[in-house]
Amino acid sequence: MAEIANYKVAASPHKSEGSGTRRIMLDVLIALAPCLAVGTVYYGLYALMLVALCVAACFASEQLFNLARRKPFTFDLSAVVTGVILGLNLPPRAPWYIPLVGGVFAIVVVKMLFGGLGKNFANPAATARVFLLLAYGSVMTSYIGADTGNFLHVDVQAGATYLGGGAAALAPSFLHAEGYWGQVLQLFLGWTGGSIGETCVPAILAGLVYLLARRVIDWRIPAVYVLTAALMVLICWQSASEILLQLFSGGLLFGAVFMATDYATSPKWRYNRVLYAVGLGMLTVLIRRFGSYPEGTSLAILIMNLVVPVLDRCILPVRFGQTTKAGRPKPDVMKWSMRALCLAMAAALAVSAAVLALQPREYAYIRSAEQTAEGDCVLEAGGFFMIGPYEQERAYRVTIGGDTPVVKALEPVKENTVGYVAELSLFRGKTRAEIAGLTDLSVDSDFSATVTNTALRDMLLECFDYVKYEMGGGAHG
Amino acid sequence: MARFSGGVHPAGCKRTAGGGIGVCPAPARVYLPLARHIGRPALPVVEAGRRVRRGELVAAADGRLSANVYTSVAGVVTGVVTHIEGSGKKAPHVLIENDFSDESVQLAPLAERTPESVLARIAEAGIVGMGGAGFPTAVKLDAGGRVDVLVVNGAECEPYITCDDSLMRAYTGELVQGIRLAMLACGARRAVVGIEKNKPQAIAALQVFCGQDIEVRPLRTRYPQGAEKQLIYGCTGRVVPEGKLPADAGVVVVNVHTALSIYKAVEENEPCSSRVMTVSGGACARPQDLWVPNGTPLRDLAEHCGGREDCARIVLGGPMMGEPVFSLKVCTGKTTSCLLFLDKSECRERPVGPCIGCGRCVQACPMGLMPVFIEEALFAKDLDGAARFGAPACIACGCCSYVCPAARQLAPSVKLAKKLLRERKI
Repeated sequence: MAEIANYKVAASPHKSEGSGTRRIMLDVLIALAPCLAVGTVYYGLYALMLVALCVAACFASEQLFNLARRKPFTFDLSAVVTGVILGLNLPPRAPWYIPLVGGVFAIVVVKMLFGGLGKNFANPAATARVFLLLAYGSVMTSYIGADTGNFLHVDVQAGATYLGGGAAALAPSFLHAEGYWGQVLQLFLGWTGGSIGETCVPAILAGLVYLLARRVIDWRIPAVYVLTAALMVLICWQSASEILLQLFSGGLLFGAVFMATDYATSPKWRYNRVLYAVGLGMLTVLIRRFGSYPEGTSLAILIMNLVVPVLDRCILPVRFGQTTKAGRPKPDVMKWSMRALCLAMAAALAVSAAVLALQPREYAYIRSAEQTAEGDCVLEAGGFFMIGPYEQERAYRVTIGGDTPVVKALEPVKENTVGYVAELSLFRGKTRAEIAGLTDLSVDSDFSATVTNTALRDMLLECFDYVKYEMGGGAHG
Repeated sequence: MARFSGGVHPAGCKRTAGGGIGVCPAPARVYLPLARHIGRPALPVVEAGRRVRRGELVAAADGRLSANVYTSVAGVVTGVVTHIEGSGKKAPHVLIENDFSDESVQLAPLAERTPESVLARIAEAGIVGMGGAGFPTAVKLDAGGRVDVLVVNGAECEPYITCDDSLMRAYTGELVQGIRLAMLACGARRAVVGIEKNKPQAIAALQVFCGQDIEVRPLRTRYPQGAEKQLIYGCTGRVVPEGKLPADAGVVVVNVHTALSIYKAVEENEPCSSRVMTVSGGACARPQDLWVPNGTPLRDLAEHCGGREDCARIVLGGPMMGEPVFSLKVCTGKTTSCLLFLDKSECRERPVGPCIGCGRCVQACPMGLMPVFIEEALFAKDLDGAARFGAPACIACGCCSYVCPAARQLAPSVKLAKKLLRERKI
């Protein structure tokens, strides 16, 4: 064939977008870097060592498996990604063998036995986490609190998580923010107990932004996952304030960004992805609220992963120009129903969160309030206080300054002489922040006095809030 | 504006845009292909040794679905030879030795401008779809009153190619007249010219000439905007049902170059014997748009434009759908719009890896198919499965292969599945 020259030929297209498998995996690793860095700062070098062990276990077990099967070694970084994700899913003080067992399980059982890269039936990291939770229950649920002082220490006292221990696991105030917003801020920054990489929301969001900018993941999965979860929290807890606490705690956001978006185990068509993410959000919250485990992200991902092949093969995209048997254009039911579902969920969430948030504040202690000519606010407040074994009704007149927001006067109106007399001097002349900051309210180890003082403190804080929100107390903003 | 879903956005690389249209010097010999159109090959009407002038008929259409072939140079017919084609197969060509006298003849002037006479002239001039498909234009335009909109394809969505862009800028007035003649021939009341927004000069130039009956529609710059169904959707909002023709949606599509050829055939009595081509690519020293006589061997073009033969890949057509070139002995024809000399950085060879299931091919497919599952079904010899995931609707745009991070050959797989399904049906 003299006419055919020795040219290089290949089928069209002759151009490619240029992203390769290894580049994608590298992008995921870059996106995971902030979580790993924050996890190391919060939980110490031991945590970093756990992640490194996990990566080593994953990589080594993949290559050993290749060796055993007489296949070429694989350097596509996917085992490293699995290792980092699983490592960041471990408690910061897990024993050294946990990442080894988990890594080998993730790679060998979940991935390689099913055919290697792209053939795993479920997310290896999520499955391994669930496996470890079942196999080493107590180890996998004992967390430590975040502390930069942990950096070199291995023996750190156990700390609870919000999901396991409720609000008691959180500090009463955090970075000058008190109460609810203090809790939210603490969970947002991840200054709490939890798995190595999943607590710090800004770090996860940084990874999310990077992955979206690099077009590695589909925004629909994390967005719809979080939206559904928020709505489900609202329904299951009947409380708007619970939404942020739930979203920011546990592995929900980390799972939504890094685990639910795993290529092989998420649907291929965009509207199937929406349906998949809705399922994830519902399952996660249902497991958290009604299941016997405090955390449900990994389990939800594992369950939905098993549904993915069915979604992929049963719900197909409507082809361009596809017609029904009657010859009419085939309606894109899936597309429009998924869009409508998301809009409806967003609207329902917005409306009910607004309704719940705008409900009138309830005040337990305030009985009457008036403003003096000088601008001071005089409130009469009272309630039933525990005095010793008895419950007594007590009432006080509280004067809060209009110019300076301090307790100007605090006089008993009705005070039973039986039992302990409240230590009013503790509170006089103090601001709201000072009163809120009073932690040592015990008086001579008198238990009932402590209870009374605590109740009095709550009453005074409520007085400040009443002046601020109901009397338009300008100076107390 | 109706936007088709999916598609990709490859870098434009339109480095020849705005450079005007040059002329390729007539080659010493031309090989006029007799079968570079859809339908039956043309039958040669000249014998060896006969002297022909430029514009003379050398092969006549064999039946309705075929096309006349005219010589693009003056010279002596050597004979009908078998010669290699772009696909690598051999096909009959009429070989003419150029005597460089450039004597020419024209078609007889057309007395009147009726739909019938214009259609007859289009058939006589041997005009076929010059966007690449090569369907005889007279047959397409003879839609029997079913058509109310003529869509003119100036999208030119493939990277590198600028021949339509240059043509729209250089021959705007002629093009508009050609569009009016095509409207007359097919009975359409209005025409829509679809042009991607990355050609603002062409859009502006056409807007000056267009009247109420011809609308210029700037389209989103997205490949494959110029694919027939996507173009019709973008220009008219109509969806051509699967398995039907555009005429069933009341639309007929012609390429801008075809419209210009219609003008030349009707008003200037010139048959279709040369065309504008883009010669470009990183391994081409003088990339340009130029008039090329039909039947010019690619080697002449390569020498004129400084294309290096030892480059990474030579492509006839655009980088997305074009054919790889096996040999520079291949000749141009009515449908060859582009010749590319791609260097290594432009078409990286990547090893094929396992599918990681990212689903990018599904998002990119402008037809709503699932290439990943079609390939899987094909490898499992499950043709029913391939049909279920949409293989017969493939338009071979190549978006799936383009986006695949594992460099899998999805487009060829889907094409093969489509071919096997068609063969099974017969």
